[in-house]
Amino acid sequence: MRIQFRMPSVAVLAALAVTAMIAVGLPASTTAASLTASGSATTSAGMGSWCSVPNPSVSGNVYSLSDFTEIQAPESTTDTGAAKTTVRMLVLPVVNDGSFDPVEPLPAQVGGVDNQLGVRLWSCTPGMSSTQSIKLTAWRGSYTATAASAWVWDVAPTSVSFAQARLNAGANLAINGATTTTTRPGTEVRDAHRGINNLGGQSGANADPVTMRYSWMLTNGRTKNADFTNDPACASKTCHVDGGAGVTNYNNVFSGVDTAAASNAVFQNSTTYLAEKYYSGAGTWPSTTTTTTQLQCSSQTRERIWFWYTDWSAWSAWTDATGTACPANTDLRQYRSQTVPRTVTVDSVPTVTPTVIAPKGSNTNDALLRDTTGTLIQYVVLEWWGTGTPPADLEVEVFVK
Amino acid sequence: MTTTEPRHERPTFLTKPVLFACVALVAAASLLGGPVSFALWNDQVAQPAQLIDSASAISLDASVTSSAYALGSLSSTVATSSSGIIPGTRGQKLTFAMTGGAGNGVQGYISGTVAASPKSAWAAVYTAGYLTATATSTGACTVNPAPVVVSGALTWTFSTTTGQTVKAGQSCTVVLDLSIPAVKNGVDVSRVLRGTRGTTTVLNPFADFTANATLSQVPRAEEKP
Repeated sequence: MRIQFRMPSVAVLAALAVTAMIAVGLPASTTAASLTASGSATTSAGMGSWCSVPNPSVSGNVYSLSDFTEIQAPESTTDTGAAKTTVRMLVLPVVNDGSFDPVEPLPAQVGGVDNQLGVRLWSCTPGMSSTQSIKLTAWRGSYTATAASAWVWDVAPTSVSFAQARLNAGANLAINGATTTTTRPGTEVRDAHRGINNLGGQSGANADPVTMRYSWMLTNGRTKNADFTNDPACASKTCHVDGGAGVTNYNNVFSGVDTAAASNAVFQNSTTYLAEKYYSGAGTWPSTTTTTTQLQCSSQTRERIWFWYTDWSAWSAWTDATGTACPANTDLRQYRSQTVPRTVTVDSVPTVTPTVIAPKGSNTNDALLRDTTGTLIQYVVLEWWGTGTPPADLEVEVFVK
Repeated sequence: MTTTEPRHERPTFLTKPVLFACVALVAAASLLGGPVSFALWNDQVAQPAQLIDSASAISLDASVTSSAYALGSLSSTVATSSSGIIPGTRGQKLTFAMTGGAGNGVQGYISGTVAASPKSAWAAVYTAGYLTATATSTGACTVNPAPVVVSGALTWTFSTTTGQTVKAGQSCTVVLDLSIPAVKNGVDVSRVLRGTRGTTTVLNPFADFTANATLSQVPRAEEKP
């Protein structure tokens, strides 16, 4: 018997329907199927805008004005009761040991020569005080015989760097004469810088020596817009350097605008000034030697008109032949004269020359400190004064080019 | 005698066709799911959620906020913009928040990346070694603080914190802290990076940072109270 199956359409459809229901409606909880979702978010990060000056913690030869040491400096050494004045000052021994290298390349327009001493002023403050003043000077040493005890330091130089060193300038003893073995270098250059007791003044016993130790860096007469390389108006031994000759109004010498065009002393937010000096060699004020004809007089006298004349006196001191002739003869005195060639040396107006500090080579620190030629060490004095405190971003970089 | 035609017997319920249908039913059920199944649906985690017509679909919201913060007082650097990174002065935090949908009916595991897409300033800022980027996380995920460097860029990975799941409304937050120090290896950084500065109003971007995250439903048995 042959059995034939006939697919009952109803049953087949029912099976398919159940299968479809299972496929579609099977609860997730009874399967390993999982749901997923994705998300994404994006943002950017970037650099802002800023103005910066060199970080003193990185560059040891950069000094913030607001960090200058405040001292009470006497105004006189002859009057023990003289008033003192508040001074913010650093006294730096500057040598060419690498620690005073420019922190960044110098702008080309400032010129100068290799190894020339200079200062670069930095700022990010566009509008600065017009009342505060600044003065920066450099001095040749005179401390060959200075006693070891006279070297008083706030921070002594190390064997590898002078840039962090600071001479103490707080002693209540200003100089009033030639440098002695007990003269404190820090105190002496402080007072020379401030022009105390005719030091560097137009008169007085110390005018010549002090002026011949002086290098012009930044005092009244230099500005960022025109005079940054001009010679200072100090062309004679008696040129006057005193505390009143600083630059008033920082805006005249600082550039606080980061976008400032390069011009004269200005390069962006810095200004550069190079040191110049009047003396030559080891401090000799320049002079000229001329040969001229000069007059000498001699005389002889007698006691009575009928007496014989006595012997002729010695020839008098030289006088300029173009000046007054010998006095006229009298009844009791007669004169004779002679004119002779005479060599005369006179001071001359110096050609201002760059203040250059040679590489220190193998010199010891002691040898550097005691150099008197000004070619191994320069004592640089940085000072500001006035009401209030300068912005923290005002800095002075002292460099050897 | 009356002859009657043999009556056709009605098939019982368990006829062969029905048996076939039942066998097909069991086979289908076995194939479709259950722990005894050989089906490998659980490998298909990337299957888009929307393909499953389920009443309990899940969602993940990703967002990012950026905020600046002061690094400290540095007298040699003066900020001239109100935003953006400034060496030694201002840092930036990028906060990526990945939040499970409030209506999620199931819990999930999250995984993803935060990746940097460098811009032109990247070389000066990051490749030169000045940018410090640290990643931290809070909430339901943990970020690996050590980024993977791919083609000079950075990618951090994050995933669900062990023993946790992402529940409805719960967040996983990854914070990227970006900063540049004032001094790095003796270098005055704010001077060196002057060329990367933006303007007072427009930043100079050094990278885009993108978070990509995926939330995957956990098996019911692994859900946390």
